[in-house]
Amino acid sequence: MFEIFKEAIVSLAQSSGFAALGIKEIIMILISFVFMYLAIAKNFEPLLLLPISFGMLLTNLPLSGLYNPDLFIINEEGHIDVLNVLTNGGLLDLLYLGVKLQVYPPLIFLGIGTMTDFSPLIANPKSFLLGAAAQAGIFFTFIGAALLGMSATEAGSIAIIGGADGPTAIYVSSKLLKPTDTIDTGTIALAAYTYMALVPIIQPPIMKLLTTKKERSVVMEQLRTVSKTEKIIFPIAVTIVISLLVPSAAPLVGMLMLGNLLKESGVCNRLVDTAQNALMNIVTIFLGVSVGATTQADKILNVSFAKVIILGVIAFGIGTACGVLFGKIMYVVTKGKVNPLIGSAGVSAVPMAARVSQKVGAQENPTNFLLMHAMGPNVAGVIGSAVAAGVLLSII
Amino acid sequence: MEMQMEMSYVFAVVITGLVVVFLGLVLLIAFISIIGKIFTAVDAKKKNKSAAAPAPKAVQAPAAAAAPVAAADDDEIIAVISAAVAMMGAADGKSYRVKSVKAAPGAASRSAWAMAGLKETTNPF
Repeated sequence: MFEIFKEAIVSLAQSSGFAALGIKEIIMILISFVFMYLAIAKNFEPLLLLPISFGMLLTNLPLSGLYNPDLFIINEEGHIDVLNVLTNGGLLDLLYLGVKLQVYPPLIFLGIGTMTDFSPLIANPKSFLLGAAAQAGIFFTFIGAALLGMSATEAGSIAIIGGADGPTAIYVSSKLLKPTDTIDTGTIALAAYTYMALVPIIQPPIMKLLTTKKERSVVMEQLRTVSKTEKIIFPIAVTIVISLLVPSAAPLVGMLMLGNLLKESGVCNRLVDTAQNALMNIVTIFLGVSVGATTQADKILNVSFAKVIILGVIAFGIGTACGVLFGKIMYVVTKGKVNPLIGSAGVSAVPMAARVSQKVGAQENPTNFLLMHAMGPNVAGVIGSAVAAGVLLSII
Repeated sequence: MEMQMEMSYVFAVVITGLVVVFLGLVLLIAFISIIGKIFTAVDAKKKNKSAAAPAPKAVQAPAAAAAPVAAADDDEIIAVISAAVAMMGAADGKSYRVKSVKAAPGAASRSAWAMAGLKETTNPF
């Protein structure tokens, strides 16, 4: 009898997660703790980083079967076998379908649209230029990634981190990356959200380095008031123009603008309430935990991950610099009416980047109020990075 | 890892990307500016019409009402400041007299509430 008991215990132990726990998994679990710490104690984009880091923990617990990357391999017909995922997938596999089939990011954009006020941009449409200039970070990083010998799909996924827009980065990388690539969507999302949280640390030194005291002190004219009709026409016009120009950006821009139209119309308050609260929160949880699940040991503990981290911060830095430099051009062209500091807000990261512009401007002149002026390029950056995403998706 | 990209392809991606992003946003600038111009013109027309039609009485009344409100506002502010100073004096056993209250130069462009709002929005870092 004792023999049977001993055998049972041994076989239980052998089939338990403990036996399968390798050094790689342990390191990954420790890394997930670091991100949980950053989210909880340091308030680093906690709404996303906490679900992502917990997904990271779950996926690296061996034998749990919550997430199986093999199910998402593209078959001969050029797409993933959804039926196979539905029948054989674990919980996180099912949730990950929403990422893989590009459902979650546009839904998040719907919620963002209901929370965004485009009036600073409508009042000063030239801000679009700053939103476009800051996207240069994406494309210059693409060159950097290519020089480091990465594949086109990997380079595109890393470059989009420079768009400083989490949902867009997830959207592009989940569409571009192949199972043979050495990085995954989770890695991109982790880098993107970490750097977005670090915007107040990354941006100010670059902004100060590139501008003079005189430029930083520019007080801008007050923006004109925007009529309700203009606010209603704006989302419709943007959807038509952008979707015709870059059709692959239509899901992101279309949903963003739908959310905004619901808000500005003033007649869909119930839908606005759901889109910006319940729906957005549900999608955020699904998105976070399933994206976190893609960060399995093999995909993180390699050289490519280090490249993502380094190129990601470069992408942010170049984006900021290009925005500020373009702001300087506008400063010269308008004979000193534009404060170049608002250019850095063009990287999106709404509203953090605009707050940084305000903060840096206020350091020179505490009564200078740049926030609303910076919101123009800031929301233009969201549209700009969605367009850049569309371009990357259609070329690569 | 896939095979390395050719540099000509890389630059093609970069140039296409930048051109398309700028082109898209410039198109939007043109569109939004035109709409903005139309609406400011329409608004100006409406204002002209409404200014010409009703009697000037309506314009005068709010102006007259506005002045005492501003004065009352100032009195209130002085009362609040005096009360705060009196409290401070009571705490350390001295008495103070408020001789004058002047707006600080430069800060006049924004009210205390606007400053408080500004502080709150930029508070997180």
